[in-house]
Amino acid sequence: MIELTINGRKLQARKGMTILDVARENNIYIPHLCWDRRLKPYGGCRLCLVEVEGQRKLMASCSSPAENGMVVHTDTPALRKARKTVLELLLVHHPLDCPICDKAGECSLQDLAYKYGPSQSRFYGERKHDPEATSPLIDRNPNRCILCGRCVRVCWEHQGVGAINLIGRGFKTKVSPAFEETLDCEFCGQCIDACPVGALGAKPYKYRARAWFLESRDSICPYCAVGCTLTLDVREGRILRVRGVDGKGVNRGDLCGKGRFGFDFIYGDSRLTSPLIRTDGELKEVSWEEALHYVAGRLKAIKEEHGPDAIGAIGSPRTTLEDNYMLARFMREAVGTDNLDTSARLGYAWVLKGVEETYGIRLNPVRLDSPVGKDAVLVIESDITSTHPIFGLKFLEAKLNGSRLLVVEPRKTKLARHASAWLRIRPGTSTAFLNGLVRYALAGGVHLKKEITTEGLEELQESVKDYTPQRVSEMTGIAEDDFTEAAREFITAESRLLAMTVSAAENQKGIETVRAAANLLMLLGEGPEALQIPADYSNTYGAWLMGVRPLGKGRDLYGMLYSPGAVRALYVMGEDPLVTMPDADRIEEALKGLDLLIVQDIRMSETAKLADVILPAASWAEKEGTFMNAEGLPQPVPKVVAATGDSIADWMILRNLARLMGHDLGSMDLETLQDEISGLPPETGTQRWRFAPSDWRLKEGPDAEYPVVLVTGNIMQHSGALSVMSKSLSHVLSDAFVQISPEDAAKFGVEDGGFIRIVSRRDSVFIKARVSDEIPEGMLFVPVHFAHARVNALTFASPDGTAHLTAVRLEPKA
Amino acid sequence: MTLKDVIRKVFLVEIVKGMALTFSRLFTRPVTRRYPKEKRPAEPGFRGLHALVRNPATGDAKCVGCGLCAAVCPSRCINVYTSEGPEHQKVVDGYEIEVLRCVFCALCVEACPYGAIALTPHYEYADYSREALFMTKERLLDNWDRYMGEEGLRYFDSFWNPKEAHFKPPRGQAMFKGRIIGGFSG
Ligand code: SF4
Ligand code: SF4
Ligand code: SF4
Ligand code: SF4
Ligand code: SF4
Ligand code: FES
Repeated sequence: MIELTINGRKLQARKGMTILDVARENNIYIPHLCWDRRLKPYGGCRLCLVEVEGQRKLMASCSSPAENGMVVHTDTPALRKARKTVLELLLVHHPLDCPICDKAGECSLQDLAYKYGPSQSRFYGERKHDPEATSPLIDRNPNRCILCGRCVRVCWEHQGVGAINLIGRGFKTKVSPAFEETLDCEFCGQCIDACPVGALGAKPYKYRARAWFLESRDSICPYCAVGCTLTLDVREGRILRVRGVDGKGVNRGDLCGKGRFGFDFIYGDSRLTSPLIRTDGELKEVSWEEALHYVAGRLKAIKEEHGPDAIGAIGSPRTTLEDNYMLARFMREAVGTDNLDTSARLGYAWVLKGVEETYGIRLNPVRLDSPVGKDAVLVIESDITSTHPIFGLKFLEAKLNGSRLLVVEPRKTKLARHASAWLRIRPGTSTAFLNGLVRYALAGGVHLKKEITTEGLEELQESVKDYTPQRVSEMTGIAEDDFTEAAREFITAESRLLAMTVSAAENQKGIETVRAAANLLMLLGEGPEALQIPADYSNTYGAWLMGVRPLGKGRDLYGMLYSPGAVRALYVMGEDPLVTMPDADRIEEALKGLDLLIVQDIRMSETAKLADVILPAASWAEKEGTFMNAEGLPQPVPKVVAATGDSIADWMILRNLARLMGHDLGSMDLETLQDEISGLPPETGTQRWRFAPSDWRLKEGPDAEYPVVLVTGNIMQHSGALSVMSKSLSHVLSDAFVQISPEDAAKFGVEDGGFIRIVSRRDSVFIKARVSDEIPEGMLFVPVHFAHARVNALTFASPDGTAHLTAVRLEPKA
Repeated sequence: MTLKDVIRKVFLVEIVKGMALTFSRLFTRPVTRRYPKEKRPAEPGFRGLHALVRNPATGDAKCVGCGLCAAVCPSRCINVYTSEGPEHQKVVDGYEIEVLRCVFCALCVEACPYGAIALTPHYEYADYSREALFMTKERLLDNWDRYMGEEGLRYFDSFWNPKEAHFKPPRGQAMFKGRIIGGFSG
């Protein structure tokens, strides 16, 4: 423990703290511009100067460690003079165009100049950079830059991107991508929040409002399951921008591009404003009363004629807990069926099933900061920085703090680039890799040193006996030495973590991967907290807990969507199966064969276009509710703006509909609903470990006719089918594409930017090719977000939960 | 009661004195003005109806949309709407003042770094509807042409234009010193 005195107060500090850290912890103000909590000290701006008794020079508190017995003063005439001089020098070439600078009112330089400084410099210099106008989303005005380097360091040190740097010298220095190209980066916008002045800004917000016109409300991001806290800046009922506020929320102020820029999906052109009923093939606007009476009447008729089990419903991983809970009650009580499911069936359900088969528990929430501090972190075929960007950052942080980051991945993802060891695996073979590790561990006898269960151990030993390093190397394409090195590292580490994602959008992992991973961890004596598999979307986890899944004998998603004729009426709430789920042709057939398709959504989705009745729902930020993130943390989502058109909250629609069907679910307002939800019995269960052998085989491996494998997934700027509604995110990327390796491009005569036809056993699509060295030979990667490309017509559903990697062939445009 | 008081009371001295004053006033000129027949010119600095100063160079408002007037307004009756123009410049799309809420403190005039908002000498704007007293950017510019023009600039200058000497902020206080486009009188 270090003891020091600041401004006469005796304070205690821990080792490694700087003077500024101590001061901040004790609410002592020291001005600073270049310091950032997340970054290494830089000591560039010299504003944080303090006087230390016994030192002749003034010291930069952000980069001077606190030492025992130090006597520090933070506000003396000499310091004020020094700070004034520093500010004067910053203002030498500052344009001082505050009246048109969007930062005015929340600008550190403005505030500091007001507090300490001269309003203008005695010296004068002018910089004549042109503001950069061509890059999407991020506005750069180099004239206002004070060269604190925070953006550059956040981009590299914290985001692991390194898209920008300080280039040029003297008055000509500016922040820019290499060679002054237009910015081509992740568009996380973290640099915007880091910039203390108005040199970086969000383009969609440019000149839209002044800081003092805005009202700020905190909400939870509607995209992925990290559940970041967004600070929404609202003016006159319209959200103008989103910021992360340092230290706030599970994200502690960090945001990815989806959360920061994607909020404008609620202003998308495809928003529904009134209920629609299909009459004579045309969708016609009707009143709520008419629509609900119609739906209730049709549902009752179908129920009477064919029984309640002819009706099914699909819930949404993006609507609130309340909405999903109401859907479950509506289906079970008003309709009387258990045919109920969400898209989690295609991904997260297999994770939970795998965990239950091995660890014996029914839920396994992640912990967002779990990677930090582990000796070895193994990431299995998952692009976590794209699907769960802020969770992904924790892996980079872990690496920076000395963890070994082992990344098993075919694509050159961000994690692969930052890995301590990147094992370029053949797509879809990670189960073989994990089984190889299990065999290696068994051969080394680790299980003998730990007290672990023996249930299923023999079967496990038997099932992995063929996964010798040599065989694994053949199956996965990883060199034998690399494999054994990684195996040794992971198995001998003091503490370890295994992370991946399994979602409806991805097709290279399945339940067998989860089992294999759990087997490995159990063998090493690790509990379920070492297995980190986050749920996909903002409320995937919550919808699962609300019972939007068959609890008894009801039909699940496979039984409803992939078995044409199985149900006669389908109620789809906030989901677009035609875009987000595999095998679009089969789904379309099933949907077209229905007697009644009701789609309740915020927008005219592809599925809605086939519907008989469309009910407009209020979106995120237009209604109150709760999201539950991948940690299982319920977080309130407030109503911030008025609902679009006639739309109302999903749960209200369902409540009203139930009444019309003659079944009052209780006079429910949001409060009673929330009380009811919090009264649900908690999921409890004790661990009971047993090994669940997991063999690896591909359902559709590459062969002579279909020689290439197609991997589907999420990209960083998009999320499912929702983000394409956002104009800002679409500005970065709105066109479907397929990534292909340079080798395959040469082999199949594909040009970068040219169109190719991809043919699978089910269908073919026509799509733009992007040649990229991120992709290995023999693999295609295609993002799933863009409805117009219909890439999910190529893939297939896998009702047993195993990976559904798809083999395809390529036909360049003739 | 003294004898003096008695005499005063008997001869109604107080009343005679008062009537004398009344009588004398019958022959002087009246001090009240016969408004609306007779109108009084506003003194410099009078705070009448608002106007947005028209920049003679561009023909548009001088206002750059910094919103300082709205920030300082104690009755929150000013709203400024801006957006990005085709040349990436800041465009003032709308400028609104709800005159009925204004308390005529003129803080907006003081706050404006460009001298772009003025209170004109015009005070005859009573009307029958609230809408008539809701000022948009167009109406405010129109007010300028109508009530200020040539004459107004002089009037505005002589009172509102900061006189360097006595409008200087105290030494060492930070303040914005923007380039004033075109100066106050163009
Ligand atoms: S960065 Fe700050 S000081 Fe500079 S012009 Fe913008 S608001 Fe003014
Ligand atoms: S948006 Fe993110 S990736 Fe792009 S330059 Fe800024 S910090 Fe770097
Ligand atoms: S752009 Fe902003 S954050 Fe980056 S160096 Fe300049 S002032 Fe600092
Ligand atoms: S998408 Fe996920 S990581 Fe990004 S801001 Fe939203 S919750 Fe956070
Ligand atoms: S203070 Fe002046 S320049 Fe700024 S918005 Fe008001 S009128 Fe326009
Ligand atoms: S904050 Fe310490 S030098 Fe900039």
